[in-house]
Amino acid sequence: MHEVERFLFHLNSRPQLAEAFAEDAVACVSSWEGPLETREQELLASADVTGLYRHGVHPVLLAVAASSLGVSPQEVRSRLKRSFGLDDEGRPVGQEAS
Amino acid sequence: MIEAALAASHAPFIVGARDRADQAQADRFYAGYATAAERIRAARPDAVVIVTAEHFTNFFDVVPPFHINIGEFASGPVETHLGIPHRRVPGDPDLALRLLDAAAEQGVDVSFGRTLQLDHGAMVPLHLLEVPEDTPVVPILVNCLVEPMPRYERCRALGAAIGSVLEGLPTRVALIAAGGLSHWPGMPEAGRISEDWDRAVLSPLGGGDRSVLWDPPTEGADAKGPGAEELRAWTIVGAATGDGPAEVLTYEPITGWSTGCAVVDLLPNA
Repeated sequence: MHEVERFLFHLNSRPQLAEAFAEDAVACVSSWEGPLETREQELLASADVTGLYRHGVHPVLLAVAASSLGVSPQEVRSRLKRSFGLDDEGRPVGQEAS
Repeated sequence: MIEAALAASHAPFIVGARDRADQAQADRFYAGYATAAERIRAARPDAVVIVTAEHFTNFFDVVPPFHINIGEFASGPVETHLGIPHRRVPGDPDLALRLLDAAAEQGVDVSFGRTLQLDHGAMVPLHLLEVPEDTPVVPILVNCLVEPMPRYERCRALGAAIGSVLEGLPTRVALIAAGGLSHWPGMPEAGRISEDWDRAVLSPLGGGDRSVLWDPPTEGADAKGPGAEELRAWTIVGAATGDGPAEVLTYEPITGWSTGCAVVDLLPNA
């Protein structure tokens, strides 16, 4: 998990890495300098932000690195909410405000 | 001398997704920021010290509790979606080194560096407070993100050290605390806001009780969201500016921006 987060941090801070990811995500992830499990490589290469969140990636790191994965901040928010069944105010969908 | 001291929310959506907010709420919130901008302008600062949270923009493998930029400049914002032009933000190495020394004298060890990237944490307040682009800015970052975070009493000690050195200088300084209040950044719960917790911070501050900054409310603490840890920035600036009552210029729980949004003048009688 730490290595996934390290990849995301550097994806967000090294333009060359972000360019390589945009060009060929699978190759970029598989050639990453650190040890990534196969499942982790798949989550990263497919920009599966929901899967990465469920895997335990820090939500702020995921949010700041998402653009480099090719997913906008608003799309991340939308995908997470859909996946967890929460509405715009963080309540379970269908639950009325008290 | 400390000529102004503001605390303000810095959520990226405040500038990057203005239309996500309820318009009436957004108007009231921007009006609060505009009042704060006027006070900064009236203070005619020679320099600005801004205390804000790190968001994995600079640090990952090494995470300092506190960090000061002593470089000639910083750069930001790193985010392109804010709509704030990327620029060099001039620094003030002499002032930064004085702050660093004062902190060390008080037993608070702060890391330092000569390069720094700024994100929404600093750039949103600098933009909305209309700090002139040629005004030197000393950014101080606080770890409000990963455990273990600095304890509030350490933040208070750092703030007291900063206050003591600034009070003895002829330089006119504006202090800005950026971050908070309750929010769940990057999480599925984003949009949830704990208005009770936010008001439990703001009400005592308005009444002159700053102890809420070094001993934050625990009532409902599990429902304030991880983003509320950014209150540490307020603690530092609050401790630097004494004991007087603060003035809450605006508070709006803005769901569309996923944050309990406030602007507070911590030195309204300056």
